[in-house]
Amino acid sequence: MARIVAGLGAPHSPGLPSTVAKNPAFVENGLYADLRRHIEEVKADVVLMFSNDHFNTFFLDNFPLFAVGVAAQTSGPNDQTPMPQYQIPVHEGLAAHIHRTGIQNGFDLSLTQEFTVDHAFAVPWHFIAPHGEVAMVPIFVNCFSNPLPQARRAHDLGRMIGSAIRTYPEDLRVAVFASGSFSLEIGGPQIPVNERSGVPDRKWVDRIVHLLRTHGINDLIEEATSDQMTRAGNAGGELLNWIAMLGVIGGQIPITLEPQSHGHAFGVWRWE
Amino acid sequence: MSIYGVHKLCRSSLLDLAVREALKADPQGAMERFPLTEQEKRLLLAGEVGKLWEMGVSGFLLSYLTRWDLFGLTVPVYCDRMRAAKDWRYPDGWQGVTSGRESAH
Repeated sequence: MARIVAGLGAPHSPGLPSTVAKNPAFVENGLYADLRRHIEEVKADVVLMFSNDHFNTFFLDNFPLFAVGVAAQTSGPNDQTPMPQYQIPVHEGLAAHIHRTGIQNGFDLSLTQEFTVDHAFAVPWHFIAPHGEVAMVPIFVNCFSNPLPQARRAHDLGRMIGSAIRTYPEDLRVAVFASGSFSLEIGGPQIPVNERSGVPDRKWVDRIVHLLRTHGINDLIEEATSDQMTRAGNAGGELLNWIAMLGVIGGQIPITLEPQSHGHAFGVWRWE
Repeated sequence: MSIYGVHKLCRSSLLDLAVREALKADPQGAMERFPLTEQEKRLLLAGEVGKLWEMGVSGFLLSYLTRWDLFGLTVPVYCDRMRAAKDWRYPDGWQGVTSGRESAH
């Protein structure tokens, strides 16, 4: 049977690959290298990734709340992000099993079988598996277009996916990855002077980090209202990716959690 | 269809090179490719991003326009107008959180 072997969280800042290409000493390159090392140490075969499309894979003509990518492969980035293009292997069997199990358990998941991904999936991939060292299972969460899914629902989605992984008959080792920020405004009224983006709510970032470190998931779910996430910026809903990841891995506390100055963090959850 | 057409124009400026070039060369003509209301056309031509945001247009998508200074939207102009937008969701301001308007990177 498949096993869940680690949880990971990191940002998907689109400028990060080019920043690191110019300056390999940039601190977030080291933090991503740590994540990659953990994925290698737990011998993951698959990285199941919760992330959010930014109107590139999908658009508002048809924008899923939750979608599973079921295909042999995908590619990206599809949104002009300055970074290499990747062909990304997808674990089609596990993805299909998660989609089917979700429907059977009352989650009305969307299905996409021919798709490309934007920087939200491609930036983490660039740092953790650029040579296709693992296969991905992409789970799209709407973190970006109001109304957002509720935090409780995102956590329940994660719990369901955890059960689905554990009932998949192949002996796979699955690491679960959450991609996204805690507080970030891009292009909205909360941006700083002469900047395209900023961090509107640093207290909320501190609060999230505290709750993650102290078994505070239930408080986090209660406090992560749509209102609070919106106050944390128009990308503040990306916290939902982390909440879903925590639903998969259960009540663990991280072995490392490193908040950064730009409203996001790097985290690792391991138990073996 | 109101709002949706503005979102579609912004997205196309990123993903469709022909649209981007048309928006640079002839903004008024290029707008005819999209289902925009007369008010939306007027506000776009004037670069009134704060007012568009107040109507419900995504700031994330609007900010694409600054990548090519479309509709005269340089980053400083965009920021001034967007930061002046009135947030209908919180008429008393942002409560219980640090103020984003002063926060730096």
